[in-house]
Amino acid sequence: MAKVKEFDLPDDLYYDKKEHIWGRVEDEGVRAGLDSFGACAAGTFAYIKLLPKGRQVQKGRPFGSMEAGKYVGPLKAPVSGTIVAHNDEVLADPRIANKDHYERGWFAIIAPNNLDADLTDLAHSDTVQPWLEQEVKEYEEGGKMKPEGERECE
Amino acid sequence: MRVRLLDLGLVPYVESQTIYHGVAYALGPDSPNTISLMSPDSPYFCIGFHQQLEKEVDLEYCAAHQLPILRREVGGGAVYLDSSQLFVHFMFHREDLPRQVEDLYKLFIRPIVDTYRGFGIQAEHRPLNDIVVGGRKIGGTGIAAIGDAIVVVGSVMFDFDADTMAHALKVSSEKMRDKVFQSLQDYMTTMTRELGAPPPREEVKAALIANLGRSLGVQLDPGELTGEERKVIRGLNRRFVSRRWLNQKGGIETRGIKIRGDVSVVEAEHKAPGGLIRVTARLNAGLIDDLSISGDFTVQPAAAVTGLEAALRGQPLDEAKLTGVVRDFYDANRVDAPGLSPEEVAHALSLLADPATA
Repeated sequence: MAKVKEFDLPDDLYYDKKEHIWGRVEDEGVRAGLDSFGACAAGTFAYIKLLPKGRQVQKGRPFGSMEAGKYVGPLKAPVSGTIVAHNDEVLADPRIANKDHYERGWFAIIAPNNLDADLTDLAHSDTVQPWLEQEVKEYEEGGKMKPEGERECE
Repeated sequence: MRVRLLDLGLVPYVESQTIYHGVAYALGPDSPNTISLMSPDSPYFCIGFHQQLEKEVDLEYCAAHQLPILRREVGGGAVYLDSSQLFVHFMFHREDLPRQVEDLYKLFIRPIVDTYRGFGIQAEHRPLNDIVVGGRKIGGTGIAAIGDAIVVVGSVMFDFDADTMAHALKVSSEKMRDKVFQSLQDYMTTMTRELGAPPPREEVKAALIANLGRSLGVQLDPGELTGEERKVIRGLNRRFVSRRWLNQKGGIETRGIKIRGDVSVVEAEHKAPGGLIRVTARLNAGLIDDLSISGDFTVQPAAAVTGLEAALRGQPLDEAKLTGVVRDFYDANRVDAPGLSPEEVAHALSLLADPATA
């Protein structure tokens, strides 16, 4: 588990370093969600919309969108493939994605079609901790994120 | 930092939405951060990205009054827009901005607040995203990630047509529409209302431009749309007026009509043994701020309903507490309400807090 201040990122997952979308490689496909840093930045989720099951998505292109804390943004796919599952629980109550980022709070499962290549630029294993440290440091020192203790994250 | 300023004046109503979307979608690594100022040349109604058209808009009213409807890619609620508002759009590279949404609002609302203050209007930022004057909202703001840009939208409110806004919104009853209109009057304001007359538009715009540069600490360079941006905007002009774009299914469940961050108008119904109870309320910070009780029940004395509405103002939506307030009122006023027990009235009121009843 990578940990920097209040942000926990399990290092067995793969992370899109720009979008803070995580992916977990499973038999059915790549399960995707938003990590604790991304969820903190966005605020409390009010609505999540996903492309329909069966739809092809490209890595880095939206597989859905979210509305949170007076903010709307795309959910960008960590890998290319076909959407094969939605998390109906989080669609019904999006706040679950704020409270349980890595288990109940996932959004969709994407059956990958180019997995090995798509994983190469994602943070994983030993690279998660240094990336997260750098990310938090850059935002805090650049005045682009409040110091720990002043941030209001669920 | 240098920022491109697009001062576009009056633009076709569709482009008052598509220009900022287009600039955002066209943003590449070498594109400048951009601020655009514009007003639509004709009125329209605009719904949030995740709203469902037929749930939010009185389509018959809009058609009868030739009021077009657009869907934006920014969140929030449906709103009436016209040339009485000067739109301010910020399209910035994400890496040049704070990461947290609340900090983005703080940064970009400041120059708008300073502009109002420069004209003697004591505006302030009310987090998360409202600008208020003495508790009355004078404009909202919104944020979206569009393409590779972070987009912040806001406005300077010269005037506001609350009547058209109240009519264009889809509401569950005319009583609710009346309460929405009254709430817009009570909880919204404009420069015209605050100053007694609209200030000269060019003076306000000049002040806003000065405040944008000063508050953001940037050098503003007057500029124009690029050919690539115009191409993207032309494509968006077609998409934004298409039925497919407007009629997207699904949608965020909003409860009632939000007037200001913590002020909303809501309605609920409950079938009690004594008849249907309809409660239409304005909630302010979770408390009943204004209330109408109607339905097909019988209460004696008839004036008791008005008295009960008054007794319930200021109460939270706590069913047990509401039951006590209604019971005390019935006892003190010898109210005869067959089939309309204090528990039934309190239950109807408690439904105002339940999204499922919206």
